[in-house]
Amino acid sequence: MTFTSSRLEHRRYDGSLLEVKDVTLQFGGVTALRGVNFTVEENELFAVIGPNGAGKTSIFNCLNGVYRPQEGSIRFQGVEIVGRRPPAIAQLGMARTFQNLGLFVNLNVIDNLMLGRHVRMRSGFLSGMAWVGRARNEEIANRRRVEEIIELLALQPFRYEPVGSLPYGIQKKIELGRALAMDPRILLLDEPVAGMNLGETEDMARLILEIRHELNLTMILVEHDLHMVMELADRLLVLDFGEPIALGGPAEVQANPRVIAAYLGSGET
Amino acid sequence: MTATIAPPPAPDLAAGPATLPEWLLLQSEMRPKAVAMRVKELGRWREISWREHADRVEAVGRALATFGVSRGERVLLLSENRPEWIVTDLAVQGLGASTVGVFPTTPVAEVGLLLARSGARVAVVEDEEQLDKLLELQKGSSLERIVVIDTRGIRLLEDPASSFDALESLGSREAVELRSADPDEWRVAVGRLAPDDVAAIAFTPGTSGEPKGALLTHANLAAAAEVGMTEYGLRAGDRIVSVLPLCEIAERVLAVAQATSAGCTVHFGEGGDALENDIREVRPTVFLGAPRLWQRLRESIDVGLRNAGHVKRAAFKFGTSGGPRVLRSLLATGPVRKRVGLTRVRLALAGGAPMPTDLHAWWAALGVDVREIYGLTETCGVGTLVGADAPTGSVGRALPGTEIKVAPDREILVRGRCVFAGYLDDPDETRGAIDGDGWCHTGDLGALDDEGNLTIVGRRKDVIVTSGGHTVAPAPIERRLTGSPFVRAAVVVGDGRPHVGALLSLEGEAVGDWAAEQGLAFTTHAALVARPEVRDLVQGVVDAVNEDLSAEEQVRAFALLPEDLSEDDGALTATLKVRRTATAERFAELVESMYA
Repeated sequence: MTFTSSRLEHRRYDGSLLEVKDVTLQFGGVTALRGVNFTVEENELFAVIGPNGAGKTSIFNCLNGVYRPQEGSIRFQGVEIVGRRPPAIAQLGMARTFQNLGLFVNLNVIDNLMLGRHVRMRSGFLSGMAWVGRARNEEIANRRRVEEIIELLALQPFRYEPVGSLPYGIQKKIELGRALAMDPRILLLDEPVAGMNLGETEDMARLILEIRHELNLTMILVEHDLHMVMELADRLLVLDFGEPIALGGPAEVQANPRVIAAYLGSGET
Repeated sequence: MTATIAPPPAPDLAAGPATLPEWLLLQSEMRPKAVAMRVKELGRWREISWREHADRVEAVGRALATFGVSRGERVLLLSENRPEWIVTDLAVQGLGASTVGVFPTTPVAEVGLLLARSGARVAVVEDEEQLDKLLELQKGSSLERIVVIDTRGIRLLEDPASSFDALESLGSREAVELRSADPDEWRVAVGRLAPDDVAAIAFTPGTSGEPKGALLTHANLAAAAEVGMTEYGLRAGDRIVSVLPLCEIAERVLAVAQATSAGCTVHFGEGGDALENDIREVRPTVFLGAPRLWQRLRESIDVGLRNAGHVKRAAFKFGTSGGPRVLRSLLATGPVRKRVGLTRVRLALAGGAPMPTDLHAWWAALGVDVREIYGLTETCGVGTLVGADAPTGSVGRALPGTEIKVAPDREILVRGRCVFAGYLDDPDETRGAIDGDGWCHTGDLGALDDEGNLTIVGRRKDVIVTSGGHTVAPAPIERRLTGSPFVRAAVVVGDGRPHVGALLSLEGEAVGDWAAEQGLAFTTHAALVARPEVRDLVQGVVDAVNEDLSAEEQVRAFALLPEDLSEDDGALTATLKVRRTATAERFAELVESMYA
């Protein structure tokens, strides 16, 4: 069995897969992000960390088009995406998960994952109703892809369970599965282990590595759990009050005095 | 395989084939389109016909031959249950070589030991995880080739590794014709297998001591296959779900030997937590489970009942308590059996470990007669089978073709075609296991009644002698203790002590539910176990067990383990049997505290 995704043909582009340049985001007089710069390369696991309210989730919201930064540019596969609507950006191949789950609790696992396939569907409403031609073939292909994801995430025991009745740790996995169902080029994970116990956290960390390994996927991770991030990420960006204070590999960042100060308080107190 | 080939001898159909690869060829000829296996892939059951199955075996066999696998060679097989396991096994057997099945959970150091002992040059592995183990071990070993069944996640497959797909196309009919070799070569080679050649090396779990490689011959496997047809009444079209690991002899005998000869359909589901789903979908007619599994299915019914309404619970209570059978089955047993997918089961078997007596009674009330089988790896899984008239607690009478007697020192002895050929490279152990008259010394202690029903008392090495000089067999006591839904595992100790004591590991879910009902607060398993109320609950269980025991046997002290026993710390064997000594050593402090 191999992953037979109906992946979109990859765009050709110069430079990095994702380039964020001088992004500044303000709400009225409050500056949420100021002068954020970073790039993410193909197949990289990039992490954004910082204390509460540092602007981590704001970056995600800028990337996937929910917020529009006042300044700066974000180029994804060479295309400027600032100003584009979230569905258009999703179509380009950016998928995300949410900190506090965005699943349809009354639908079962399959249906939730099939919804993730929606961006990859081409057939129209009428052919879908008549269940002929393209709609039928598409549905079968999509269902197959969903099964591949179910296998990857070991969700087999839960296929037809309403999502709302499942344990939190499983729901987090389903959320991840729905994002994967979009066949993204880049996956944004917003605190994938928030609220999980130790066992579930380890499970999720293993899964993230496996996904990266098997699907060759580029990921950006926003996380609170520093320990996990240091283990998983290739490079990190550290934010404090919306400003980038460090960027680099785990060892480098850990030794950075500004990071230590932001996390542990400055040495003088 | 040699180049000079005589015409194949006509198969003697009346006597039946003498080897499993021959049985497979027969099935493929007689019932080419019937379903040999079903495997659940991406949520759907894919069917594999006997013809397809036999063709794959042939292709893999031919390809392995080009790797130099021939008579007397050994091939290592590290995989979970799946069709390729059986394909590889039968292909290796067809070459006159033998399969060494290794549990996928085996740690790398032990795999290294098995590799060195078997001297295998070729290994077939399931996936990247198993491949990594062998790549680590390969340097300086006998290993020349590794075949990977599932290549997902592997970037680059390079020498010495190749894929199972590549193996199959290498040996395919087309490829053979291109090489202008004889397409009938395989059939001829299979027809010439010697029944007394070794077909499989099964490393015994070794509840005590280092693993030993039991040599099983084609004749052993054929004898075990025959039991399926004559005693179990297996027939074409019977549905089997492969649940226990194929490395375990009982499963291997059923899913490979007996299924191939009787033409049953073997199902490979998604397993794990989806096992209940698999069983419901397959609705097996023959079902083999370890007692743990029967217990797990029972729990899933219990959980369902707890969440059900009053009416359903009352109906269940009525249905399992007696009364007209039709009414019972309509009201209670039918729906419940349907819930776990056991509506069609004609033959329910339990093997691998002793079955707690009240678990048997619980299933019997539902109309599922779980019949215990007793057999060792050394007797190719064949020994006794519980019959309708067997007394409670016994494992039944000797199967036809098998003789059983109990030596004066109470050791159970088995003789028959099923008895293995000896241990790999270990003449001393072999002499200890098979005596001059062909009796296999099982190391188990037992008693035979006048009807020939065997009761297992324990392992010879495990007998406890208390400081008062009383001999106590721990197994029956442990069996009674684990009969309680609250007790997952029990280890009875007391050698050289004034009285018998027990280390108990609790069934976290059942005790947790009980605690929740009682309104007890707890966080972890350890905290739960530490509650005095839980101790009282277990004391009740122990007291009930003691009622049936003699004064010397009674459990006077017990300690609750703060954690689950696991394979990693050596307390369980790969087949999840409790290692008594290892557990007692690991929890030595607890043992001491019991006698303080």
